[in-house]
Amino acid sequence: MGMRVTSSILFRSALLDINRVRQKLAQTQERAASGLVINRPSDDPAGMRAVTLLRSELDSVEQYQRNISKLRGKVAGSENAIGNATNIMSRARELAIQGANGTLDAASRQLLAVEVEALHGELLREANSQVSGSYLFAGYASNTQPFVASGPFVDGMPSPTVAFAGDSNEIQVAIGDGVSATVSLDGRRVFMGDADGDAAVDAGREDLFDILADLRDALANDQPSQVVAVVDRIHTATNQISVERTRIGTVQAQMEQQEASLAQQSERLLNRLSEVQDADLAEVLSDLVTQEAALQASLSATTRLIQPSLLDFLG
Amino acid sequence: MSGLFGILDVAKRGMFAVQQGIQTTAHNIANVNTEGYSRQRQILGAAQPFPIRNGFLGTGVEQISVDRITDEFVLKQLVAQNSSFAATDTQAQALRQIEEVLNEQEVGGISAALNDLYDAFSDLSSAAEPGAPVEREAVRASAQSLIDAFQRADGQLRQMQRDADGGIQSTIAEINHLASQIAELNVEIGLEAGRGPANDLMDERDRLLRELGSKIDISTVDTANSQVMVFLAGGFPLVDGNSARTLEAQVDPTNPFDPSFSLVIFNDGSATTDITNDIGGGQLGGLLRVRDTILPAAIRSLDTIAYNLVDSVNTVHAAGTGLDGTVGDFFQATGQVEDAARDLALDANIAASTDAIAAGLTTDPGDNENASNLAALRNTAAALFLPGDPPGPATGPARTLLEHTSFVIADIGQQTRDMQFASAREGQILEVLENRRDEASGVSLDEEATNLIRLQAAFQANARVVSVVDRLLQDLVSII
Repeated sequence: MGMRVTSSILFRSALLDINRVRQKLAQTQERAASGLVINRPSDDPAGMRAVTLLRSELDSVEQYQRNISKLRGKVAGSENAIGNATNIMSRARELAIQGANGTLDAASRQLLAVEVEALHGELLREANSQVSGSYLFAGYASNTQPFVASGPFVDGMPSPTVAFAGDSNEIQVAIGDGVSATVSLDGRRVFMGDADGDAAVDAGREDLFDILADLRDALANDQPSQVVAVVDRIHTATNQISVERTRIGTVQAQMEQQEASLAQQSERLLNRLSEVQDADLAEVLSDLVTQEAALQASLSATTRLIQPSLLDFLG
Repeated sequence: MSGLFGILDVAKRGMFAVQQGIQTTAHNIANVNTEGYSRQRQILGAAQPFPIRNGFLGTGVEQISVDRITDEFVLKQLVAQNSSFAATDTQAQALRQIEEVLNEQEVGGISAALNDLYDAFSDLSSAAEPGAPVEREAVRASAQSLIDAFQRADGQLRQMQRDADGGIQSTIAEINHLASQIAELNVEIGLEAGRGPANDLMDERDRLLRELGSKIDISTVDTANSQVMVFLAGGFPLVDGNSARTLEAQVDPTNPFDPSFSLVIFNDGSATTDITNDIGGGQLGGLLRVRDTILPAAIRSLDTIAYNLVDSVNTVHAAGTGLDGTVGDFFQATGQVEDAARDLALDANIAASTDAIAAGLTTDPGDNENASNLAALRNTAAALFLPGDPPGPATGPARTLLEHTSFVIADIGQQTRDMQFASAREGQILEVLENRRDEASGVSLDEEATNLIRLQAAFQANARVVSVVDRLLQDLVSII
């Protein structure tokens, strides 16, 4: 005896078939709507893991990019300040050479002294540069004015001294995995020639404020031989700050390089993310059409399930 | 009895049997859509013959019984399959909900919130303003969002656990109701036993057994008087002939998640036994697994992430100093992994003032070293503390928290996927078995129509006999 096919079997199978097609269709519609093949972890557990990790990586890359753009102003500010200090020192050198000239009289030297006083003030301003309220050369004491003059210039009195009120920390910020940028320089080392923090000028370095103070005093006191001595010191000082300028310039280059590399990383990660989670729209749409057709076929087949039976032919 | 009147009697009996046959056919046709109905078949036999001198004269036909056509083996399989399907389907549904709670493709995911906190630490390290007042606020806000994300997920999982417990209690009530209905049917079927098979009552009992199977895993034994005994896993007799025992929900104050959760107790009238761990199938078995295994694992996974977050952030944070000189934790310290997600909170000092956030190793407003160290935790892999580890050493794998989170999510996804496949497979087997049952027991209208034609012809033939006998009698009468 063959298999008995009852109407209950036909209806059950038809209903389950329609359900299956509808489930597939719902999934395809979800993919079409979200544009994603992974809409929940069970769609592809390993893929979901990859998506989560790629998102984290992308997030950290974006954070490094944000750090770089935030720090750019600070680094540029430092470089600018040191650049200006270089100009100040080269102007001071000109004045010193002028002042060393034996033919100059005391009154002219006095005029030069006044200009040196102005340079001293400019240098102080540069050394106390601020970005967003932060003193660039104060180390961690970023809200403390780092260079403080003991007072104004007073005629007939020795130049005021400048004391350092910051600290020698150089701020480091991560701008990549294992990559950090030094975004502030030790002001005492840059402007006062004290890299070891012992409150005294290191051998081979110079205190720029001291140089200007000594130059002003030598000019004001009409002592050309003292002025000559200062010229050599200015030379050392200029070298000293140009080294510092290179240091901060290198940071800028490093940041630019890192930014380019981060942009590449970000693009690579976005591509990977898209490969893993994005639906191929052409494929999804063609699936959608196929499955809709399948559903219609199942539905129309089901309407024919109410087949005639022998009962219809009984007279 | 012989003679013309005897023949009339034979024809009458034939017509009577045919009528009964049509009644059975009509009953089958009427029940073509009745769930659990088994088609019935009239069994005919020759009536007691009449002895005569040289043999026996037939006296016609009689209906011996009306049988229902069933395949007892398939029926038993169906009960078991209902149990497996209901258990896997219940678990698959719960897992689908759990994976939505942890779905990183939606907003508010745990790993997205973790990333935000690490971002905020990094922003703190690159702050332009002295003391970074804005960045400090952002750190506290993103930490609070992360806490919210943990607590939202934890709260949803615990709500699902309470729902499962509620389901367990109502399923127990349904099981008791079904068991008592089956016992009542046993009584009725026993009373009818002398009169031939009580087909429709037995169909109803089979249907109830299948329904009971979908609630809890059972095995059945048929007894001599057409009664059925129902045993639970572990051999506890739920239905013993005419009487049903009961299951009870008994509060278990030692449950680590909620002291109001229930154990399942078998009460045989004189003694009670805890059978919670014996139940493996049916909706009840599925719900117990959801409440006691699947959800606890998910909750502890969250706890593990939360505890290790607290531990790693606090360790680094306490090495630094707040702007106001505070030295201490960032999150409220917890002594154990268990419930760390639920109890996650900011340290009181941090909650009170963002100046307590230790961005530096000193109180200097530009000191960003500790903020950098906190941000670096994003990529720091360390052995993870697992439930039960603290205060001992961490025994988990060395992973970053984000890596671990992605493992947890993928693991839930895999479980959901596996359980969905299992549930679909059990459903297909169930479909095959239901079709096999219908193959044997379902009503086929073609078959019934054929029967009608056959019975109609038989009725006509018997009527023909009556009319022939009638004519013979008229012939006899006309002679007189």
